[in-house]
Amino acid sequence: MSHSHRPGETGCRQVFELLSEFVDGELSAAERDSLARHLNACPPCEEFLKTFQAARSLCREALLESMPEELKNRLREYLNKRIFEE
Amino acid sequence: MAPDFAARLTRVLDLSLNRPRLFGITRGALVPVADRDQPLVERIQSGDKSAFELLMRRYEDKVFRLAVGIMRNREDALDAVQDAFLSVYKKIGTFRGDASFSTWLYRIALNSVYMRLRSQARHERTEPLDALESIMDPARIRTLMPARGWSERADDSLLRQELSAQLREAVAALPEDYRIIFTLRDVEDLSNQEVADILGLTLAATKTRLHRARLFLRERLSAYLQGDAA
Repeated sequence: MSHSHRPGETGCRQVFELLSEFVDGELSAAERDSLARHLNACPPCEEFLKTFQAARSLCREALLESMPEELKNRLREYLNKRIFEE
Repeated sequence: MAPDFAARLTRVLDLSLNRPRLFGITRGALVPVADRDQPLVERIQSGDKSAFELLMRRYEDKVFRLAVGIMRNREDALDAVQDAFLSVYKKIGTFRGDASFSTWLYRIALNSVYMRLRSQARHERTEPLDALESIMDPARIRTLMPARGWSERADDSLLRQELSAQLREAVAALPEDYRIIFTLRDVEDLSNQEVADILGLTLAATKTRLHRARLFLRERLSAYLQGDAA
């Protein structure tokens, strides 16, 4: 986080701000290339990106549970009475 | 932390990171959900009740996760999901496809959740976290940088279970609108624009909140793992 950057090149603060757009594929090709060059030269930022991505992946896994079968059955029973048995 | 535990932890995180989509476009931006739903919607609109059941099976887990994330109670969430699907069935004749079907469905689901919460009169919206307000402050960025890497840690089902509980707590600590945005975008894979449409927010506001939520969750995970590894 303390090294210098060439004028016009992506700096550490910009990396921090642009991470979501970067991982969502929303940066222009020029911005993406500049950021990728920075990441290649800046291990702390590269590590930050990796942990940023890991947190997203692990949160997704943690939250991606299915509706319990017992509740699904009750949902279907409810809708069967209200819709399918009309 | 025992050495073998640390080694397993290392593999968990490493596997999460070594996926091709690390620098790529996430699935949400690639899947044309509206196109996929349209044939079923048209069948339901023409009176085919079996098509409604197919559509319900496609979305029941998603709607349930959204409801549980807000209501934090499975029984209450079930009530809201029932209301939502019944409402979808009753209103589907009015669906004209101006928005994608999933956007329309999630709006109805959110309305059902909030109607239930209002009727219970015990809903307390979470207040904005100081941690989120300051997470973009320049002075704070340095402290957010990992002191030492935990991304090289590893994969293990037992370890993932331990992390799951921590992460669910972290997500639950997010203010409600941030939590909904994160859930719809990063769990359900909707696009930023779809999330913005569902919540009636601007795209810019949606993206800002999503970014802050992701940074907050990264920070919480980092604090847990670095503390655990110490």
